Amino acid sequence: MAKLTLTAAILSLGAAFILTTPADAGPINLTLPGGYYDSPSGYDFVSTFPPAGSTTIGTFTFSIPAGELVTGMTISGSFGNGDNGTTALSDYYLGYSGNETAVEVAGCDNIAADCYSGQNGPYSWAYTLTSADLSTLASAIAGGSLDFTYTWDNNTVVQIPGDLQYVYAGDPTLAIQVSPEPASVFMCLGGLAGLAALRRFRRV
Amino acid sequence: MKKIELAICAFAVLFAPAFVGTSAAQSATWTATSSPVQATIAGGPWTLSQGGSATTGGAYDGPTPYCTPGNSAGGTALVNPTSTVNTFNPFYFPFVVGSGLSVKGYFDYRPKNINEAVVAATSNDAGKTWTFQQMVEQLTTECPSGDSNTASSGGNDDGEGHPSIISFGGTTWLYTLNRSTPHVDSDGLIVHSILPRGVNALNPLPLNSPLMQPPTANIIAGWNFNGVTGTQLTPAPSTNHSSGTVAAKSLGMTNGYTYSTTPATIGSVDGSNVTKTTLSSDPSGTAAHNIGPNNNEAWRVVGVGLTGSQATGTAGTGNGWNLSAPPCTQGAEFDVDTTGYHYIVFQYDWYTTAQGVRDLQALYTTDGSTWTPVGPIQVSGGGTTFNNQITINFHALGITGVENNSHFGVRLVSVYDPDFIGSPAYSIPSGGTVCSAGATGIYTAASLATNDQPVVYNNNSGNWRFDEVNVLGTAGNTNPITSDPIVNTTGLVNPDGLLAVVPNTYPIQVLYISKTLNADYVPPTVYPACPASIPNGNFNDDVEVVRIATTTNFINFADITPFNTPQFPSPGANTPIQMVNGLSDPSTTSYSGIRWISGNGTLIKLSNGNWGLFFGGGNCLDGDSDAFHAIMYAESNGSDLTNWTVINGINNPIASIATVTGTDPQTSQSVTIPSSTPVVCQVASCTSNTLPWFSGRVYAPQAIVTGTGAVSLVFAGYDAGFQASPRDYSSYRNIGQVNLSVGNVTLP
Repeated sequence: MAKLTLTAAILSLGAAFILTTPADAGPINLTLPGGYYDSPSGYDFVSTFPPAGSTTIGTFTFSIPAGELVTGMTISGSFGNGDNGTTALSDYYLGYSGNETAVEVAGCDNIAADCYSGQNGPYSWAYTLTSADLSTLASAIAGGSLDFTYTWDNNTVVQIPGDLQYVYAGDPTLAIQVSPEPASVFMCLGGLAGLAALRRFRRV
Repeated sequence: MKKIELAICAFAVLFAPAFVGTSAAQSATWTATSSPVQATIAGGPWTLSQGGSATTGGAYDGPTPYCTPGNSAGGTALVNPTSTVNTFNPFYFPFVVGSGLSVKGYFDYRPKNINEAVVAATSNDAGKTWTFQQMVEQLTTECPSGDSNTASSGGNDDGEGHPSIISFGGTTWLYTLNRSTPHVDSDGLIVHSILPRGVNALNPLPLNSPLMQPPTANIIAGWNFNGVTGTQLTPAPSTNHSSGTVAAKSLGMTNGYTYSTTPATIGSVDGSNVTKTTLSSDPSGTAAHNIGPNNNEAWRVVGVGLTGSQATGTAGTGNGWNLSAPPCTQGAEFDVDTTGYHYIVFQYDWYTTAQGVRDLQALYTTDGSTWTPVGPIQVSGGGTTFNNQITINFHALGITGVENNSHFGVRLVSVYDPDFIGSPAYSIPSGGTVCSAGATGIYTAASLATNDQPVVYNNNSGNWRFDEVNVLGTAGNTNPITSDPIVNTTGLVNPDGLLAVVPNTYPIQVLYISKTLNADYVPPTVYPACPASIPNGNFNDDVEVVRIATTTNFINFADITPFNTPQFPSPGANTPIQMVNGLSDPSTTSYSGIRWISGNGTLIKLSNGNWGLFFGGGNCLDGDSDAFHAIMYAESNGSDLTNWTVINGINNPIASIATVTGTDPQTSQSVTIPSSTPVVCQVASCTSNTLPWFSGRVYAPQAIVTGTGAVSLVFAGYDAGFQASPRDYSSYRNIGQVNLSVGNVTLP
């Protein structure tokens, strides 16, 4: 009887594990330590021009719990912020050292768009990363670090001498969806089944 | 029969969308979902409630006076910590940006007769409660000498008011109205470029306005042309503190060009003279009791140009200004020896006739022979109007060679129009300037064509005029000008403030208030006069209309307002004037009409394809062109911002001052205004169709979109007691808030 009880207990534990482990552990929500961003320098695109390449606004650092996988990622933010409701033409990325513009997540590319010429900003944006995006960022995700960066667009339309245009960005939020690794689940169940079989074998 | 019925049904099904779709776009129907409340502000300068509840206001000797310690001891102006929350007064003319709950507002802080400043604050509940961020551009640091602090005791609150904002591509521009005499409703709006950084929402503007500086303390030499008549080819300065040469002369008016008369006129002789011209910034020349607009001497630069048959073909009688003149060769020159002076500023009033050349470029010299362009091309505001106190601050531009210099001079000259679409095309040679020999283009006239495009100068008429030309500087090497020198817009005609900024446009479009003081008696705006107002018996003869203008650089505007005709003649048919159609009529005397409109309204793009506009307005009942009788709502005709239909007018307003009964001057009928319950009184427990804190004035509506069918309306109001005699100083310039909803259109 005691052996049967032990087997039942092992199987019960396994069942409990399966029943209580959620299929999706819920998002990990991250913001940047610095909050919103105002570019320190502005440019008039007449006699002063922004630098080529990307500028890092901040870095999302995180750790994925052991035995869990990243199954999805969404980033949101705003063009403009509480200081200025608009921004200079610019594009925003998630990237990592060596490829800071790996995945474009937002862009303010048109002077007629709200992000540039709306009068009641800031204006929200959001982007859900595709599978391909996640693949591109896989190494950075595994390393628990993603840079939020931007590049300037060359403004060939609005060029006013001395009128310096600045990048204003709202505080971005990165939501990382995680789930237990399938292999982990199966290995656990398999182990429990093996224990149960072993106990039966010994009885025999 | 069944086949016929089936055919009819099929026909109806196929064409029903067409029948339904051709009906007019349904206008928004607003309802109130809350009662209006007075807003509060945490922190910031002194507020009315701190002076106590007495009708004297208590700014001088109330429980917490304006200055600390206050009373006869004066002291320092109070600044409240953010832990101190007060009713949001005396502030008005809000301008709110943002949507949802988190918004930023810019306010006109104006304790009566004490001070005026621009204040920025933020709200996290769509305008019910605010937190002070920063105050700038204050008129004075003086403490009141009494609770009413009247003008006779030194009180003054005519500083920079009516703040409004343009946000564009990560830049922010603040516009204010210069209320000081005689600049109010005459000069362009003051333009400030700001770089908001956190609580420094108005960075880098100084706490003190340049209006605080005595305007005449630092004139090295100046010309006001007063008391001068007739031909003046080289007018003498009216003020001269220079140790050396001070001279003015016209440029290019004596020439051998051909003029477009029939037969042609060959040649011109300089005939520059002094003539009376209205509405420069010169404070002198205003008629008694302010009946007429200021009309005093200005220097007219022109050829002799005889009129009538004598001019036609007579040699040497050309108009002076000519299409054949190379750019930068015609205009005026002012030479001032600045030996011993630094921080040089050049200011001038510039007038063009309707046919005068549209574009002006300033040049300067440090050696008397090499002339270099400085500042942007100035664009006339449409002709027959002054652009006042255009300012060139050389030190701020990094040009210090003009200081302590016996050869300093400024030329104000005509240049080709970069906006002209036609031949010859406008171009500047590589590395050149607007004055370069290889520059191409053509001169255009100040007055635009009916399609709002520039037209080629007619080559035989038109002229420029100047007034209040001043060269300023300091004898000691100290900067008298604050870090925020006055830069005025050009091209806006007698602006009283912006009404609304049109989003997503470039050139940027704005609706603005154009107010011409005391113009009811001056052609072409001769309109029926209002009778004495109810209840205080005031009269007002200002002509105020809404106009539309564009800008590509936030400073120079082009007015593109079409011509429309006010409906009520006095006597004879009215002349068309530039004004948008359908919002107001400057000729109406009806108590149900809208004669005046005030600034700081809100434009919203609607799902029905129209623009919605919340605005403040008034009529002869008020006797005051400040236009504060009611908050109203109108919609445009589709995307056309120059044609409007008022949906909520004087009689069915969003909000109103207290009910007034009288005999309508136009219909001679007894009327009660408003005749319908205002929208905000659908929920609020109104008395006499209003609440006490806006029973005297209500205007400046700022609609914050909080949902697809909801706005939070932030606005300003006065208690009726402020309008009474003796005046109640305890409740005026109140900021308030109410929630509105709309079910038949969708908001952005």
